[in-house]
Amino acid sequence: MAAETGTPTTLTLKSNDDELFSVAESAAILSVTIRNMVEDGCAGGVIPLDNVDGKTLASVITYMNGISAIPADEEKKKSYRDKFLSDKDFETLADMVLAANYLNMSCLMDAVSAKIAQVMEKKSVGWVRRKFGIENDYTPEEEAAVKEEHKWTFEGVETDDDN
Amino acid sequence: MDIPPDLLQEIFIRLPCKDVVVSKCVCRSWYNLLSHPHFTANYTINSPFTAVFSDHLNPKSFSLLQLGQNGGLIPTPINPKLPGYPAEKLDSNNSDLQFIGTRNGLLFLLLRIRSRNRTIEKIYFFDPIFDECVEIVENKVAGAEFGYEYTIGYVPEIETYKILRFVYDDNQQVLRAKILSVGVDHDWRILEDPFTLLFPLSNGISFKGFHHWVSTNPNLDWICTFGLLDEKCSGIPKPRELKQLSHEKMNLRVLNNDRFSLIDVSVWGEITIWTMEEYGVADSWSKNVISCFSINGFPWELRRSDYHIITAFPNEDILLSQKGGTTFFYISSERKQSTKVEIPDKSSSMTNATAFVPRFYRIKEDSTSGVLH
Repeated sequence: MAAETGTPTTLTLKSNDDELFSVAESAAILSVTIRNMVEDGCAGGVIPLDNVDGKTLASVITYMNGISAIPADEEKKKSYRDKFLSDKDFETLADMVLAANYLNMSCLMDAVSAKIAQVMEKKSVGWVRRKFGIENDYTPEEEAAVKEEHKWTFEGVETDDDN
Repeated sequence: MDIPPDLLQEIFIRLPCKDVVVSKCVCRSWYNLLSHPHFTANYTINSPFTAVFSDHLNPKSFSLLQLGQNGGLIPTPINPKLPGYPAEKLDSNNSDLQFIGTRNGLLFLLLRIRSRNRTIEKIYFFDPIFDECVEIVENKVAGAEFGYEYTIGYVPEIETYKILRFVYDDNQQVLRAKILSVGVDHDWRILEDPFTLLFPLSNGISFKGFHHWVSTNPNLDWICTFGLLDEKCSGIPKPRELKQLSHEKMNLRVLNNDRFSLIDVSVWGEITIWTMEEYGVADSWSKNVISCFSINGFPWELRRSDYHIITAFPNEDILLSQKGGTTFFYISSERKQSTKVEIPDKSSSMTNATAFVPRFYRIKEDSTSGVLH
């Protein structure tokens, strides 16, 4: 597409909080959602992305530019992804999972899911609840029963500070 | 933040099983998601590597090992609580504990306690996820035996586990065999005409109600089977193109989509996956050859005569080891990547490993056969 014409085509993406971003079409079409729009010819003006905020979209675009600059070398792409995600906090990772899903970017989706799983390793129930913003809807009896069912996972683990 | 369940699943399938269990305790909806059989099925396919390692000389040395997302190994010690035999009471001078099989998320354990003139063997069914351990049957051995072997299989037609024990001589001919249907028989039954059985190894698999294994006798043209329902021996043909079967260089597996397969590393530099497209039909074997040159980090330092398959996983990944070594090599066929697996506790030589499929929900089969719960 863009590569053949010499002048790279640029797309304008709009986040749900009305920030505008310019991005090379060749990078943006890593998103299947955007690629479909381009192929259907609906990418003429501004592409509104109703489910992604500006902060997350900026991050995703950094990723799009970074990864598309790497030639077809899976090892290098993997180390780029690792480095890109290494300094992201939990909230950003969670926003990126939602964005990657909405934009249909499977490589980012896989990498972010793996990163979240890695962060969750060896964490307590309380930690997981806080980070995911989940309210404990178990009754105390139910929770005790569930923990009793898998008692071994809590042996030798310090109790959660919010329990 | 509200991550929908299908995206949560993408995260959960990448967790080590201990963290899956912790996640079940977070809230009701997570509990329901993770307790659903769909999740376990999904986890089985996607979680690349779950193996149980043990050192049979040290009864306290069981661990689940999983490959973490950063490529490192995550060991989870599991301590089966044997009824009547708490870990501190077991003396490694006269007792050993080993796993002898796995099925439906259960591990089958064999405890052997030796005294001057006899050995007591006890079989336990152990569910590491729900931490339940039940004694199934006992066997007393007086006098000497050259060798013995246990095989445990599940018979779907009658929803019953069967335990087979046989004794063989130094020519690996089976001398006698007995069998027990769990929850049905009160005592062992002598198996009639066991002599066509040849020394099966613990690398056998159950499929379609038959136990299958590659014999130690390299001259056999077929894969040995034992019909768990009719309790008779038989065999299925090996691939015609394959010159010889080898129990050390080949491993039987049921791969994804229920395909009966033979994973073969007998040709140096190649991993061949033979698949019987139509079960039992000799002409239906097909093969897929993976060149080790295409695998990143393949352990070329393993001398060809010394390495063998420890286990193969349902997704065609395999675990190789050097004979007697404590280093394993996990080879992902899909990612074309080899990862060196160092055993965390070098002081205990881990002597056994098997692929394990954890199950995060309870099933009817456990209770109908009176096994657990």
